[in-house]
Amino acid sequence: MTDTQAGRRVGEVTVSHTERVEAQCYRLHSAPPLGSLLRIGSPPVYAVVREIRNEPLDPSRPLAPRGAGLESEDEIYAANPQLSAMLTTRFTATIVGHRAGPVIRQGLPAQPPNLHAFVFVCDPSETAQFAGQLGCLRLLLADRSPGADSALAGFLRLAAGAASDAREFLLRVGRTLAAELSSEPQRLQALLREMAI
Amino acid sequence: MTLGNGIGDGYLSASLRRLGLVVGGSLSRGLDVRLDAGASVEDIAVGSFVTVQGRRQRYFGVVTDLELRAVDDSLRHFPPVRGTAESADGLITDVMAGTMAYGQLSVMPSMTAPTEGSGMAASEAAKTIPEHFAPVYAASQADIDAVFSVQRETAFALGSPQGMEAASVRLDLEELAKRSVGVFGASGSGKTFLARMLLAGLVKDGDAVSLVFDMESEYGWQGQDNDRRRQVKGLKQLFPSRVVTFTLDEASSRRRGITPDGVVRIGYDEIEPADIEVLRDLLNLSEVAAATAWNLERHYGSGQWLRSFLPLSGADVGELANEIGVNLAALQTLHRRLSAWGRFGFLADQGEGSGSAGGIIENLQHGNHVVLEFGQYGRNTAAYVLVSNLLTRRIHETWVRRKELADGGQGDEPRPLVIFIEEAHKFLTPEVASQTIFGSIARELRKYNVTLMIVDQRPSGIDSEVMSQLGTRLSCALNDDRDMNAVLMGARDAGQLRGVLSRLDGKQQALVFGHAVPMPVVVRPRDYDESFYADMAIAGAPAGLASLAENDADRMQREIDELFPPE
Repeated sequence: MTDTQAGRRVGEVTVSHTERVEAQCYRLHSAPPLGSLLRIGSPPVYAVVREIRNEPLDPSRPLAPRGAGLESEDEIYAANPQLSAMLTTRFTATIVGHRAGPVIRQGLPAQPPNLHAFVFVCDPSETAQFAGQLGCLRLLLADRSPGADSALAGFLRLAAGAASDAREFLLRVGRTLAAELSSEPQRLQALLREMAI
Repeated sequence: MTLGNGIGDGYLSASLRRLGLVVGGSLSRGLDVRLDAGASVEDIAVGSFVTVQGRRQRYFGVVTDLELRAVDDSLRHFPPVRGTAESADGLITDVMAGTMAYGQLSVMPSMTAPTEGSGMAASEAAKTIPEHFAPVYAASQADIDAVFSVQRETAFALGSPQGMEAASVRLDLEELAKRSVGVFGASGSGKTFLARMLLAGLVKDGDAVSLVFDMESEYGWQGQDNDRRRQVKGLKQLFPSRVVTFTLDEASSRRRGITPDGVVRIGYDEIEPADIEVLRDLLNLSEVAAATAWNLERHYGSGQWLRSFLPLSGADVGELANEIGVNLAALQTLHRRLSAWGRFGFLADQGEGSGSAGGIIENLQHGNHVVLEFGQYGRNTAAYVLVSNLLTRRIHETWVRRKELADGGQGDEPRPLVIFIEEAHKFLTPEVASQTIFGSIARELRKYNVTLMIVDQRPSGIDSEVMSQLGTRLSCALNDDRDMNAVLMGARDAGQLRGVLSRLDGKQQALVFGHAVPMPVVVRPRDYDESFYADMAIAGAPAGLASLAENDADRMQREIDELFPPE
């Protein structure tokens, strides 16, 4: 287990594919923000949060409403302490890179992370270091759903916030995106608008 | 360190401004250069110079067109909204500009030089084009100086290229005088100043002598700067010892306080029927009427016909028509039109002993430049054409004779002679060009060491054969499409130069291309002012700045001193 680097540990891998991982949070409603950069397992694999789901632990036992007559949402959880054990937060992340020795490589690792690999949220400096290259944009753009673009925009917004010159970073990223999306100017515009700070 | 393309960084200094990359094109059509995201299309003007760093050669070219392009056509329909720099819209515009939407230059590669050398020295005409993705830079001052520097003493600083005020475009005057030259431009575009500068350059350093048929009397003693409302120095003021002025209109010269060096009288006996043919349009004569001159010459004899014909009364003309069997109406028209020549004070019964051109030829042979002022007759195109055609014919005959003698080993080659004419579209029209001496001179090139300098505002009126023989062309702004096409006729890369020519400023800009420059260039001619006068001062000669303001008394004293040197 490599826990020497900074970053908050949020959960463990429950399903892993070549291109994406699914993880479950240790605490209900504590998923990393959409677009966050994650460092998973050892050797570290990097992934960007693509989708978050709060759901029952057992899919065969769907939720029923419990708050009729109560004043606030918090009262529901106070009145039903078993809920935090029956409900869970899961998220999917798109794999964007991995670390080979001291070098961060953008692209897919030879193996996806192990099951139960620990999932950390990268701190701003690691995010900025990873976003110094933009080769991972292709992997994130391959998913053409609007949700995926929002996740990408979130990632770039976080990376810009961590960069020394946010505007310059966004311009550089924008020009790379423009080359990738040369035949989709409307998608490019929507993406740029969402990632602008 | 070397760059990927093998170029040492000794040359590629940080001062070079990169514009973009070559992304396509051809030698005939020019190169397509995609502008970098950071380079604005607004900073680049048509006519600017660029260098292209090929793998093995450096290319020097000129921007001939600018274009806005979009990667995807939908951008035309849904363009991004412009916003402030900090806003999302601002980011979108900034990202899109130069990526999805970008500027493209058309560049005509003209010269190449090996990459090993420094800059564009030792360059030659481009016969290849650079590879894909060769970087393109704005040309440096050193590049321009290297391309347009002329090592010879006859190099003449004409002005600075567009957007490079500190650089200098130099003409090789010796090359210029070797072939005929055209100076074109709409009225008020500055062609007279340009022509006057070229003439001054020829007088100062050129090998050739020039003969100026000065229609408006603006080249000889002094000219007029209509924009600044001031007088400027003419050739005689700049070079009192090398320029002689002749006049057709002594009274006009006197009124302007000038003492000409000679007065030209043309004898009726010198006028030939061919001269009438040339003037046919200007005199509004039918073909038949003009042709009757030949009948008259046969009847009265060469040299006698005009002198005998003009004094005839109306009745005598009728009898003559019968006698020589020509159309009466035609003969009457000819008589009427030619009788108007009685007002030409320069026409005399008989020319001077050695012919009217004698004094001029003598001066030209001695290496003096001659300006013939027309005075009031300059306003009469027929008089201008008659005199210039007639004198040029005589002078040309002399040059042909001397050249042939020289070829046969008897005597020296005649000096190269540049004959300067204005308003050429009135008498070098396709109909008569072949009959004028100027048409012959243009066609025979430099065979007899005589070339033309044509200054005109309507080049489309000039015979295309004459136009195509012009070695070097300098064109200020022109308003008419046909004129622009005429100026570019027969030029290499005419299609690309068309865009440059049509966008010249109305004043103070000229496109120069042809024999005397290594590649086409848009020049802002230097100012015709004190600094130009100073450059024109002849080192060591008394005709320096001090004598520029020479008045009649000084001049007389100088001439006396020259004839009778003080002990």
